[in-house]
Amino acid sequence: MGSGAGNPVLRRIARGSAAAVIVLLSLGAAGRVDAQGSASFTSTASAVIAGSLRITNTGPLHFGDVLPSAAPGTVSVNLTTAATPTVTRTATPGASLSGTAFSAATFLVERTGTGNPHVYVTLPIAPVTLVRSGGGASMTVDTFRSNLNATCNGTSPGPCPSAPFTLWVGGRLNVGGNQAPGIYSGTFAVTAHQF
Amino acid sequence: MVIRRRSIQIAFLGAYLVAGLVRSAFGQQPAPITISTDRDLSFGSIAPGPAGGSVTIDPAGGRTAAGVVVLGSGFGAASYTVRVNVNGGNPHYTITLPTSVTLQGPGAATMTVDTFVSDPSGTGNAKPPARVDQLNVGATLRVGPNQPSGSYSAPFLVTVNLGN
Repeated sequence: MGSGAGNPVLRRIARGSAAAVIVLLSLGAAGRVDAQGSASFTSTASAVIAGSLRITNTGPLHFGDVLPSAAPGTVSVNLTTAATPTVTRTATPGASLSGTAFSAATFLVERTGTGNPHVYVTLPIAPVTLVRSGGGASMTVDTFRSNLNATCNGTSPGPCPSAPFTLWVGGRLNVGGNQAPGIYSGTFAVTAHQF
Repeated sequence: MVIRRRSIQIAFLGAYLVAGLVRSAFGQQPAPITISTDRDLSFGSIAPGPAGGSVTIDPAGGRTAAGVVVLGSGFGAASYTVRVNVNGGNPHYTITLPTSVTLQGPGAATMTVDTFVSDPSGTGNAKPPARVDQLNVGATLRVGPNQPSGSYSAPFLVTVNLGN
């Protein structure tokens, strides 16, 4: 480059006025501004929709006819843990059974889509209130139970059935002393979870 | 001779500046700012309901849901490495996120992702000496009533601009 001083082009630049140098300097500054660039990156957003779960009530929990007494008592609808369980009805002293009509509630649990079809259910924990038709009295139902293996209930389920299946639910009716005669009814919620 | 030597110096200065301009114009220098993805944005597995709902991933990677039940653990915020290759000062950069993106699913099924949120938000600073910053991005997924089951995805663009 030292010999470049003899190059006619360089000599022409060298002969240029101070204005030429200022132009070059300002171009240099513009080059640095250009260097303040931008960058983009395309990444992916994704989601998986699992099959939806449907639970349909196909039969009521029915404690049947109950005869009260001066003392409080209970009536229970019991289940065995089988796909089609044996359903029985028992009473404690204070309440006695009448008639033969009673039933466990039944629910059809179905799911759509692909993936793990295992399902567990959550039964009511708090007592559910049954209100007498026409008012004036109430009873409670608690100790809900189902035909699923005990380890398949709650938040840390063990072996659970694959949907579709029928869920059977029983419970315990608390009958007061001298419970007013009438028809009592209420609602309770069962939640099915897939995992 | 004195005059001539100064002229040569000026000529060298000019040649140096021109060479610098040519180098940046032809991209031979490292890009002044780069961004690369470390992790994609994933909403994970979702059980839809009859009423629809939404799932939000915050930039820290937490997941919250409304109206739908979320399943499993396969979810996370998008994460990027922003690298600034210029010297001098605190290299601030501005962040441009999408407004909304449509995820394509099975058949003609779609879902919308919107409310993109980043950490840092709006402007980042790839502080010296490393001049490297981590940028995390979350968003909200809109799940329709009885959303068809399957895998949904779409690309989305995050842009960083040097300077603010």
